[in-house]
Amino acid sequence: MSDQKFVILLAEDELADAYLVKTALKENNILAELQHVVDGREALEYLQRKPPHYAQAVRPNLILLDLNMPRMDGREFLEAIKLEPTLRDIPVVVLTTSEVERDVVSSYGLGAAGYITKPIDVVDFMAAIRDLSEYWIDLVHLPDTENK
Amino acid sequence: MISQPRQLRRTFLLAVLLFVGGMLALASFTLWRLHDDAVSNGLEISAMHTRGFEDFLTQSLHVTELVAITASEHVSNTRELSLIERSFVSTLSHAPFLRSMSMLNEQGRIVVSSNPANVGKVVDTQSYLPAVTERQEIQRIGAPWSGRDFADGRVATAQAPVEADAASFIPVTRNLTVGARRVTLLIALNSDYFINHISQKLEANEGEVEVMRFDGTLLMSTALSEQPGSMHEYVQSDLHLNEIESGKFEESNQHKKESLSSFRASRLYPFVVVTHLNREYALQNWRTEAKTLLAVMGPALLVIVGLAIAFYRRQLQLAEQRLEAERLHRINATVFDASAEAIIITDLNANIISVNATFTAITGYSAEDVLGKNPRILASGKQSTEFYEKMWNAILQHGIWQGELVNRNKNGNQYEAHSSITVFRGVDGEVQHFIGVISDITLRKQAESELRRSNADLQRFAEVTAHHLQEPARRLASYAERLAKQLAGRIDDEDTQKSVEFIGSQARRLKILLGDIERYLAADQARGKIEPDVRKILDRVLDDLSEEIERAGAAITVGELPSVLVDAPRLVDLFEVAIGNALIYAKPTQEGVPLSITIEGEVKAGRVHYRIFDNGQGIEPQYRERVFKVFERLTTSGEGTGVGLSIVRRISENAGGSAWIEEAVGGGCAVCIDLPIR
Repeated sequence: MSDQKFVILLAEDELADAYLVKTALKENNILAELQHVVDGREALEYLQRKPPHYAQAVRPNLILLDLNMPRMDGREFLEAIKLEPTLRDIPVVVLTTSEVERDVVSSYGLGAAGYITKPIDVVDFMAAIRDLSEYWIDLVHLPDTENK
Repeated sequence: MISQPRQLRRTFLLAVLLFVGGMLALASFTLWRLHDDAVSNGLEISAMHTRGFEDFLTQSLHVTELVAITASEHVSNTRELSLIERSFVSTLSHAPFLRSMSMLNEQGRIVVSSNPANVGKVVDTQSYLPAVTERQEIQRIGAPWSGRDFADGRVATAQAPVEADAASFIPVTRNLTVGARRVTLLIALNSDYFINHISQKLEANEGEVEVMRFDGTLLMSTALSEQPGSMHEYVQSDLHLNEIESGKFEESNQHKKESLSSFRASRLYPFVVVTHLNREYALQNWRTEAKTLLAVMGPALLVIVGLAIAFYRRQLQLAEQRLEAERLHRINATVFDASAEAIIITDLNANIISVNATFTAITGYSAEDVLGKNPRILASGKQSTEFYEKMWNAILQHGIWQGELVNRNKNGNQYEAHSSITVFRGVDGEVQHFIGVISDITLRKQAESELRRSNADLQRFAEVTAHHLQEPARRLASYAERLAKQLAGRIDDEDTQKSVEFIGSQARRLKILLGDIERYLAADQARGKIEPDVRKILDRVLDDLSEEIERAGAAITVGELPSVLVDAPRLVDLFEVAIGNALIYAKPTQEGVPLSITIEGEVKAGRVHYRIFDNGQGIEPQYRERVFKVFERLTTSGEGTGVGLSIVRRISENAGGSAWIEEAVGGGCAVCIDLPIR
C-alpha cells in the first residue's frame, strides 16, 4: 500500500444509504476518503474531472456503485467507463438491493469487480464494508493505468 | 425450356439461309436461262444475217452472170470493139455493183473493156474458183485485187493482201461460147457496194461480216482491219463446207473477240459468208434484264430478310417473355403449394377451381372433395347471415375482406381462422375470380387467451401486493412520526437523530411509492364517470395540492379546458401527477421570480390538447422520453417516486391518446397530453 490516501467514490442517490456507508467506514476505522456523488452522470463527470466541480478530483481507488439512480443508472455507468481506457481498470463494487437483483445484474457481464447486497441489518452492512475495505485497501495493489 | 430461344435462333438462321440460298439459286438459274436464250437468239440473229447476206451476194453474182450472158449477145452480133465497149458501158450503168466489164482473149489479155484503161492488161485467171476444164461455161471467182480496177490494180495474195482501208474489187470470169468463138468475160465486182449494203443491215458495233472463197481467201469484210486477199485457214479446216453448207458457233479468239458466229456457203458460187455477231451486243438485253432482276430482287431480298429478322426478334422476345411467364408461374405455383396458409381460388360464381396442399392439411378436405363446390362447406354455422352479408359487401366494394371466423373441418371439428378474400380482376377490370387465404389461428388464439389470463393474474397480483404493502407502510410511517415526537429534544447524538429522520422519511416515501404503483396499475381502466366540466376536476386537484402549492410559493394559471373522453378519477390522476411534478422539480431560473404553473387546453383537429407547463429549468432533450419509464427520475429529490409520468402516459394511451414533453416558452417543462374530445 502506498502512502497516498485510499479514495472511494460512492455513487448513491439515496442519502440514507450514503450515510450508512460513511458511518460504516468511520466505525470500522477505515482510513479512506469518501467522495459522494448522486448519480451515474455525476460519477462520470467526477472521473473525467469536469469543471467546475470536479476539476481537481482525485482518482478513486475503488468505486461503490448503486444501481438505481436518476439520469444515468449503475448499468449505464459501467458501460460508459468500459469505453474509456483510463477508467476501465478502476475496480467497481456494485451495491444491490437483493440477492435476486445481484444475480440479474451479474448476468449482464458488465465487468463489476464485486457485489455487496445492502442488508437490512445495519451491523451486517458495517461488516460487509469492513471486509470490502480490507480486501481492496490492504490486499490488492492495483496498477495505476492513469499514469502509465 | 432454357434452350427455347437458342432453338428458335437455329431454326431462324436455317430458314433465312435456306430462303436466301433458294432465292439466289432461283435468280442464278433464271439468269443462266436468260443468258442461254440470249446466246441462242444471238446465234439465230447471226444466222439470219448470214442467210440474208449470202442470198444477196449469190443473187448479185447470179445477176452478174446474167449480165455477162446478155453481154455475150452483143459480142456475138459484132466484132466491132467500140460497139462492144459501148455495150459494156451501157450494161454497167444499170449495175452499180459492177465496176468494169472486160473481155479477155485466149492469152488472157484484155482486148475490150468498159474502162478503156484496162485494155492490154493481162489477167491470169487460172487460180479462179471453181477450177474448171476449158470447156465449162461457169462463173468463177478470183482473188481480190487492190485498187479501183485492173488498170491500176494488182492481185492480192496471202503474203501481200490489200492494205487496210485501201480500195479493192473482186474479179469474176465467165467463159462464153459465141458462135464458134470462145470468149472470157472479166468483171470487176465493186466490193464497196456490198460492204455498204451489209453495213446498213449490220452496224459495225453489232458485228462483222466476212466473205471468203472456199479456199479461205478473204474477198471482202466489213471490218476495216481485215485485209482482202488474206488467207483464213479456218474456212477449210473448221467449216467442213464439203459436208455442211451452214452452221453456228461461238468463238472467242484474239482477232474476233467474243462473238456469236454463223456461216453459210453460197448455193451457186464458191464463196462463204461468215457473220461474227458481237457477243457483247447480243447479250446487251440480257445484261439489262439481269440488272433489272437483281435491282428488283436484291432490295426485295433485303426487305424480306429485314422483315424476317424483325419477326424473329419479336418471336425471340415473345419466347423470352413466355419463359419469364413460365418461370413466374412456377414460382407462383411453388408459393401456392408451399404456403403455410390454405389458398382457395374460385370462379366468378364462387365455385372452387383450385386449392393448395395446406388447404387439405387445415380443412381435411382433398382437392377432389371441394372442386366445383362453394366454400360455404367450410362454414361452422357460428357466423350469422349478417356477418356474411357484410363480408360480401366489403369484397365487392373494396376488392378485399379480412377477418376472423370459426370454420369447421371435414371431421366436424371447429377451428378459428384468419381469412382474407381478394377479388381477382381481368385486364378488362371485370371480376373473374375470388382468392381466399385461410390460416388456422386456433393455437394463436389459445396463446393469446393464455397471455391475457396471465397478464390479468399478474396485474391482480401486483394490485393486491401494492394494496397489502400499503398498510404496513402506513403504520411504519405513523410509528416513525410517533417515535420522532417522543424522542424530540431527548436525542443528543447526530447518528441517532439521523436514524430517526431517515426512518420517517423512508416510511413516507414508501407510502407514496405504493400509492403511485397502485395508480399506475389502475391507469388502464376507467374508474368512474366522465365529468364534462374539467375545470371542476382541476379545482379539486388544486385544492388537494394547496399545501404543496403554498410551500412552493407557486402561482397557478388556468386556461380553457375542453372536455375529454376520460373518466374523472383518472383525469384527477393526470393533473395531480403533472402539477405535482412541477411543484417538486421545477425551480425558477430567474432569481426572485416565483414558480409559475399554467394549465390550459385547446381543441386541435377534433382532439383535445392539454399543456401543463412551468417556468422552471426544463428537461434536457435526451431525458424527455426517459422520464416516462417507470421509476425513472432525474433528481434525487426525496419526494419523487419516478412513477408519476409513467401514470400520465399509461392513462393517456389507454384512453386513446398520448403524452410527451416539450420545452415551454422560456425554457420550462411542458407536459403535453393529447386526448379524444368528448
